[in-house]
Formats: sequence, C-alpha cells, structure tokens
Amino acid sequence: MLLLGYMLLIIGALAAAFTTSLDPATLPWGYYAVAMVVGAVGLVMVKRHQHLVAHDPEQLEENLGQLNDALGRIVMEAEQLVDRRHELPVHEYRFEIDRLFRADLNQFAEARYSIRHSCGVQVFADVMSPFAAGERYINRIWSASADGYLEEANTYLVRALEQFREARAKLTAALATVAVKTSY
Amino acid sequence: MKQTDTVVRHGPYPELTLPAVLVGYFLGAIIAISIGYAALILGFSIEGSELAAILGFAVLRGMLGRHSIVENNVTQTVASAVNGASSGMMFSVPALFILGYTDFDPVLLTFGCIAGAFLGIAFIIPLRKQMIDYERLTYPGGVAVATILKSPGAGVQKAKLLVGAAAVAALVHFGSQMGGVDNWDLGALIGLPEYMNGVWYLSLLTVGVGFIAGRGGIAFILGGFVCYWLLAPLLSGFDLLPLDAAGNPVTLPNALRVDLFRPVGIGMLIGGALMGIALALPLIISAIRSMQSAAVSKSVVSKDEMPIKLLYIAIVAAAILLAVMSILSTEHMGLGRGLLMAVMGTLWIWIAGVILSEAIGRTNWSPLSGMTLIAVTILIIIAKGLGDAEAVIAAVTLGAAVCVAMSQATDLMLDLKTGYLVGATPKMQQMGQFLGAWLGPLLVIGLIMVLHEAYGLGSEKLPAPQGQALASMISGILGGDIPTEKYLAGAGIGALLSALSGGLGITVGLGFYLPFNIVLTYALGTLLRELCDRYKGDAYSESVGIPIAAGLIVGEALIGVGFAVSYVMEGL
Repeated sequence: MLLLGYMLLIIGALAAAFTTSLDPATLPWGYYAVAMVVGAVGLVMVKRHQHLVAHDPEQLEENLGQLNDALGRIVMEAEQLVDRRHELPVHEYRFEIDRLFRADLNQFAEARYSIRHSCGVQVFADVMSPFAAGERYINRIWSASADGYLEEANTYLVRALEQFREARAKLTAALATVAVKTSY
Repeated sequence: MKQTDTVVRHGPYPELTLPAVLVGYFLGAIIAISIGYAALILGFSIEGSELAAILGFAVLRGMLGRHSIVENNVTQTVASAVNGASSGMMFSVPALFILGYTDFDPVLLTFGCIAGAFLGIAFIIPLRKQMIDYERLTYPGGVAVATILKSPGAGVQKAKLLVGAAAVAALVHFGSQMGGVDNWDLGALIGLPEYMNGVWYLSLLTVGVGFIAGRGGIAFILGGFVCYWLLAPLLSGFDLLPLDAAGNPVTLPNALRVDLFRPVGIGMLIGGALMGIALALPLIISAIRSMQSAAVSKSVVSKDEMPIKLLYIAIVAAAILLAVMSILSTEHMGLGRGLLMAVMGTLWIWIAGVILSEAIGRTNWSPLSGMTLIAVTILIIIAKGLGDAEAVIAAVTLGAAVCVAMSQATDLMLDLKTGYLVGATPKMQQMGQFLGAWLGPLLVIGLIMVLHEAYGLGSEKLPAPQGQALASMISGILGGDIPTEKYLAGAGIGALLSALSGGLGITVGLGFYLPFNIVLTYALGTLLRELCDRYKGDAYSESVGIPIAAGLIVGEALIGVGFAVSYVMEGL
C-alpha cells in the first residue's frame, strides 16, 4: 500500500506540474484536477500507512525506549560531570561534552517524533522545550569552556542538568500514560 | 593539554554588552552600505552574517582584547540586523524611481520600514521554538557562522580546515569574478539539449551550503531536476515547448524558467507554506503555551526568551503603524482601504516569514524577491482604484516595509540558529536584533536618495537590476498580466507535497523558482555530504566536512563583499 501510495502521489504531482507547463498563459484545469485527485489518493494511502506504523505499539515501545535510554544516559553523564566539576579544568569541559553528550543528544533528537506520535503535540512540546534548553546550555558550557569562564560553565552545567531532568520527568510521565492506555 | 589558551576567567560571561552593540552598529553600517551599493550594480544581495562574524571576531578579540563567543554572536546579530534593511529595501524602493513615481514621502517610508522590521522580529518569537527547538531545521548559513565563532575553541586542526577552505573559495571566486566567468556550460560540451540546462554555477559557497544542508536539501534539488530534466524534455518530445515571436520553440532555460516554472514555484511556496502552517499550527500553539507556562512558573528558561506578550504588543503596534503609514502614503487612500492594506501586509509578513524561514532553514536560499512580488501584487490589487501612480506608491511604500520585515525575520532565524549552537541566550539576540533593526532603514534610504541624486537609479551607472525587475513586474500587474492560474495551480501542488511532509512543498517549489545552475552546483555539495556520511561516517562529516564547508561559504562571501567595497571606492 505504501509503495502504491507513493507512486500515485509522485505521478499525480508530476502530472499536475506538467499541466502547468503546457502554456505560459493558460492552464487545462480538467487535466490538472484529475492529476491532483490521483496525487491526493496517493497521499491518503501514504498517510494511512504512516499512521499505522507510527502507532504500532511494538515500534512505538522500541522508539520510546531508545529515547528514554538516551535521555537517561544524558542525565547520568550530566550528574557525573556536575560531581566532577571542581576537579576538571574549565578548558577541558568542551572536550568532555563532545565525548559524553553528542551521540546521545543526536540519538534523542533523531527519534523525537515518536513522542509526538504516541503522546500528542503538547507532550512533544513539553518534552522538547527543556531538552532543547538543556542542549543549548550544553553548547553554552562549550563556549564558556573555550573562553575560560569558570563560573559560567559551572552555573550552566547545573542548569543543563535541571533541564534534562525536567525533560526526563515529563517523558517518563507521558510514557506511563501510554503504558496505561496500551494495557487496556 | 589539547588547547593552547588556558587562562581561567571569572565573573559573568559577556553577552549583550555596550561594546558588542557599538561594534555591531559600526560593522553593520559598513556592510549595509557596501552590500546595498553593490546590489544596485550587481542585482543581488549578499548575506552579511559571515562577514559580520569574522570582522566582529577581529575587532572584539583582536583589537579590544575581549573573549566571549556569545558576545561575538550578539555583535554579528546586531550587524546583520542593520544590514537586513539593505536586501529588503534595495529590491523594492528603487522601483519607484525607475517607474518615475518619486512623489512619495521618504520619512514615512523609512519609519514604515522600521515598523516592518520590528514586526518581522516579533513574529519570529514563537517560530524560533517551533523551527529551531522542535523541528531542528539545519540553517546551513547559521551553522557556518557558528563554526567561525567556535573556531578559537575547536582546535587548531578545525581552524586550519576552515581557513584553508576559505582561502581556496576566495581564490576561485576572485578568479571567476576577474575573469567574468560565473558559469560553466558542461551541458553544451557533452551535447545536452539547451533546455536541459547543463550549466554549472561556479561557486564553492553553493557547494558548501549543499554539504551543510545534507539530505534536507534533496527536495530542492528534485524540484530543479523535475523542471529541466523531466518537464522540459517532455515538452520538447511532444512539441509542446512555448513558441517565440518568430514561431520557433523557446529552449533558453531562463526563458522557460520565467514563463513556465517560476510562477508555479512561487505558487508552490505559498501553497506549501499555507499547508505547513495549518499542519504546524498545533505545534506553534504548543510552543506559545509552553512559553506562557514557563513565564507563569517563572522558570529559568522563561528568562531566556522575550516575553510572549511582546509578540502580541508588537503585532498590534506594528499593524497600527503600518495602517497609519498606509493611510498617509497617498492623498486619496482613505481609511478602509488603508486598513485593509495594513491587515493584508501584516498577514503576509507572517505567512512569508514562515515560507522564508523554512526555505532558508532547509536550503539556505531565501525567495525574498518572489515574496515581495506577491506582497506588492496583493497591495496593488487593493489600491488599484486610486489610479496607477497612487496605487504603485502606496503598494511599494508598504511593500518595502513588508520586505524589510521578511528580511529581518529570516536574518534573525539564521542568527538564532547560530546562537543555539554556541549557547547564546535568545532574548539577548532578539534584543540585539531590535537594537540593530532601526538603523538599517535610515542608512539605506539615505544611500538611495544620495545615489539617485548623483547618478539616477536605473541609469547605466546604477542599473538597479532588482528594482528594474520589480518595476517591469509592476507594469505587468497594472496591465493585468498576473500569472494567477499558475500561482493557484502551483499552490495546489505545494499544498499536496507539504501535506505529505511539512516544508516539502516549499523546498520543491524553491527548486522550481531558482535558476537550475545553482541547483546543479548545490547538488554537488549534497552528493559529497552523502558520500562522506556513507564512507567516512557522520563524525568525519561533522569534524572535517563542516569546517571545510563553512570555510567555502566564508571565503566566497568575503570576496563578494570585497568586490562590493571596491565598487563603493570607485564610486567615491
């Protein structure tokens, strides 16, 4: 169904584009409308398939599990870095950040739409807001480290941890709701 | 130790400081005048963020002995905010002079542009959260500037890659400019039909942009290839190519673009954006709710953002200002028509702001001229009852304000992406943008008036190609020559594609809209990124590819501005 849907969508869009290029001034609206209907049918088929896949309980559970794991590791690494902050020279922070956080931050970001599919737009926004703030703070620590601003780096290390904890708390709460829903 | 600078500094990390703003004003004024003047000769504008970042770097770190990446980011934000008026006004205002409608109020126009600039900035407040925090759009130009700003701490190796690539791009661009060779017609060499447009734009900047955008730019490339490698051969195969006055088929790629593909592309941009807005509306509302709840709980994050109330105040205040400006723009405007123009202008700023932010976020290309054309078309249609002269003056006066608003919105989104990557505070950047936005219109209108007095806009000395293009389009609109059917049909296709994936209609439409030589060269960057990711890994692309790509952008941009400065010097 997915392949057929994509084919209809692409054929419809290309055919509609072709009708628009037949004449600089006018347009054969009948042919255009047929092409657009073909495209729209394809769109509905693709969307239905995407909806089914996005809401597949097993797939969702796997994706949400990955998200939860990545965020859990980010929080853990941030906690450990906060504990080590008085031992670590400020100029080393940025190398630690690149080593400890980048992969998990990227993994979380790539899988983020699973939250939207399973928990809705508002929960997605509620989780992504502190996550993005945490990532931005991590980037600020990197900059402060490069410039040697010790207090700034330490202050934002604590703030980043708070944001990641908030994101994890909101994700955990949302996952619990999903688990309750799917258990019925 | 992995780093050379081991000085530990105490106290607050400098960000929005007086030196940052003053240096931003200074650099912004130089860049706006240089690029503005060059735009009147060359016909295109240059994004000033990279230059502002490098010059700010030199002044703040080299001359003033300051050490703060985020302060440098604010300087670059202020400078590019000043320059934002340059591209916005240079496209629109010269059209009035070229058409001979010089009976407009320059003071009103200037304050209208300032109001428009503030409105464009305010509209970006919730879009920042949606497009940068949630959607995580790439913004290749923003990534390039962040790479420059972070270069002192990124290690010697990355700095070498950045500088080396910048030098190569600068040399290539210098050579191509001096030799007058901007393009390479590979298609003719291998016997490709003319309509298939096998001309490559000789620009390493474009390759760098394609590399940084990566897969985000694939839809843009597809849009271009559909036009010239699918539709054009089909039209030729079925003898359906349009005919010229002599009855011969039109095979010139630019003629096909202007007559057939670009109007559909503009429609796709609009339809794609409207569908994108409809689909993203729940997310934008969630972003606003999230900001409101953070403000109520007075969380740390809420202090990072401009208060959302400012958005509402700015919308009302700027809409009132635009209404006043519209009503006063011509003698017979009247209250009702003036209000309608202001409301349509305000609405269009938001819709076009979304289109431009999406387009520049995914590909680094901003269809500002197309969006201005639509704005002016809508405004002329509303004002048509006033007679040609008054309709054009009112539409271009308000259109200039709308154009500056759109320009500010896209510039700020790029800067906010840079800010995200270096950890800047959005509120500080937004304040920096507000602080810089008022200066540009004053400088640029002064520049336009002086240059027109000295040489005459539209003359051989100052051809103002963008203004001429808008002037000819205005003449077409007044004569009823608006490709409405193509806009509508394009809008349907754009909406269909954006319904599949948010932003898809806009990026494919951009491929229809832009010249194919840019698309071809851009595709090379995308291909290199794909190969790099596949065979060397993502980490290699990030640590080696991105600094090189950023260097390519910086080197060519610097030479572009260098030529602009040389034009200014020649003109003195």
